[in-house]
Amino acid sequence: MKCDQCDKTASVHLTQVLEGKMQKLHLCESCAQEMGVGQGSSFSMSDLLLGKGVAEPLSRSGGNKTCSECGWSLRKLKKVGRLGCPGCYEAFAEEIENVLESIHQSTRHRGRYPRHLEKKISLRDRLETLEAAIAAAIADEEYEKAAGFRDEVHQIKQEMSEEAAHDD
Amino acid sequence: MTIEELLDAPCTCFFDHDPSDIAISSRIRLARNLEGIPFPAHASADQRRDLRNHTLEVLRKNAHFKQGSFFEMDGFTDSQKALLFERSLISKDLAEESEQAGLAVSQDVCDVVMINEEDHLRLQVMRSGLCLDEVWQKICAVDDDLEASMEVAFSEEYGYLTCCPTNTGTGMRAGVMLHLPGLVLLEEIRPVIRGLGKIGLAVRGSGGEGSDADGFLYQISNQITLGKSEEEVIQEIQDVVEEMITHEQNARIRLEESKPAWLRDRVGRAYGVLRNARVLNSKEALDLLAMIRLGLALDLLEWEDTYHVEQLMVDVRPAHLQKCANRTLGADQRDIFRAEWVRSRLAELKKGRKL
Repeated sequence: MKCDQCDKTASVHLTQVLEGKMQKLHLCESCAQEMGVGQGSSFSMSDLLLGKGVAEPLSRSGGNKTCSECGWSLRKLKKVGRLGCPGCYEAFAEEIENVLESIHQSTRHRGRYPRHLEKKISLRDRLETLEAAIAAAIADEEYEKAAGFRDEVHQIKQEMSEEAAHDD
Repeated sequence: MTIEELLDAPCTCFFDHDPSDIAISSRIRLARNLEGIPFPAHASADQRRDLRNHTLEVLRKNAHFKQGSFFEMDGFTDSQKALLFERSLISKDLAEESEQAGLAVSQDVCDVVMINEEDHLRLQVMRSGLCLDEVWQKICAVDDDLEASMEVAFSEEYGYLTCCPTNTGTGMRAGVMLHLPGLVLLEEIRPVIRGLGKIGLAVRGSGGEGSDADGFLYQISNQITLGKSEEEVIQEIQDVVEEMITHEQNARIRLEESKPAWLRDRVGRAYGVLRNARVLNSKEALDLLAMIRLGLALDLLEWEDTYHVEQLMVDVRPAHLQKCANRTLGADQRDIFRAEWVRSRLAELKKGRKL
């Protein structure tokens, strides 16, 4: 196993429960020493693991995920704060969500989109509005109204699957 | 258009030569990337070259770039790139990292596409004055046309996918450059800057990120690109800018009313120094010219309009100055030549001055 900070072989393995989630850290001897790990000094594992805004639980596969499309690694993402290719957004979805949230206080695009997605996105937006309306109607005990919305939802979902089939 | 013609083309989208204009220019840029190709910093030289050549080919057929010009950045010298940067036609990144990078420029030299900057494509449209809506309409049209012929990386969740997460979503940076000498003289600019920071807008010097507000020029732009639509962001900037313009106008009135002698002293001294200085650095020259521009706006100075003060504010920047001199100048020589250049240009204007 490689060190989370450099490319040497890891010989120090740490596990810590942080905010109720298990975090793992693998370090080589020199990095561990540099960080004061194992010398009785206190350190914040979340600081060590990830930069600002990227403190999130690591997946079981270990601390250095890579993007299958371009080979960019989580370590590089943390180091330079940039992504390797558009595919990295999917490869590092968990980490990116946190970063986007901390920069923009949002993780959801609300703006312009490519013309060919116009129909798909307007259906999606209508669906979301209806789902919110159903929840509100149920909260107000207006069940008939909610049922009406549900019929519309059904119709939109049908349109969406037709649209998806068209795309394929 | 050859490189030389591009560098000689007038800077019309930057300064519009009316000294009382507070909003100097409006600019929007969009970051776009192509599906399936690593971002420029992570792409191989071959991938970058292919992408540049392909994009330039596509843009040559694009209606918005008809009779436009297309360049490989490797063909520019450092000082030519510095000149394009001073005119806001390219970013600092593109001036510094130009390997396999490209540039498309519209015929009127107001719209550009930078290729292989931090993102594959950076579209930029700029006009003089406060006209974000017009700029937005224009850049959307360019974007639509590009999208029709290239597969742009887009996620329904995150929007346009960019190399840096600070641009994810709309990929849009919209900004207006303002000339605010009144607020600076009354020492009211700092709280304004702090306030704008709190509502998510950035205030920078005219040279972009990290630059000083030389010549009392400030650029106001958005920082948020995710969670708000482009129209919402543009409206926010528009509202803030209109408010800032009113503040600046009020500041000028207050200066006239409460400190008339002091105001005339500042303008008069600026004129005196510029007419007599033998060594001028870029910041000093810009700050003094800004006072002259204020003096003209308030009708404290009057002269025949043969050489615009706005043009001088462009000329005194280091790369432009070398171009005026038509030779390479060391830093010391540059300051001497700058003083000489301004002195001779201001001398042409002195007729009928009053204070």
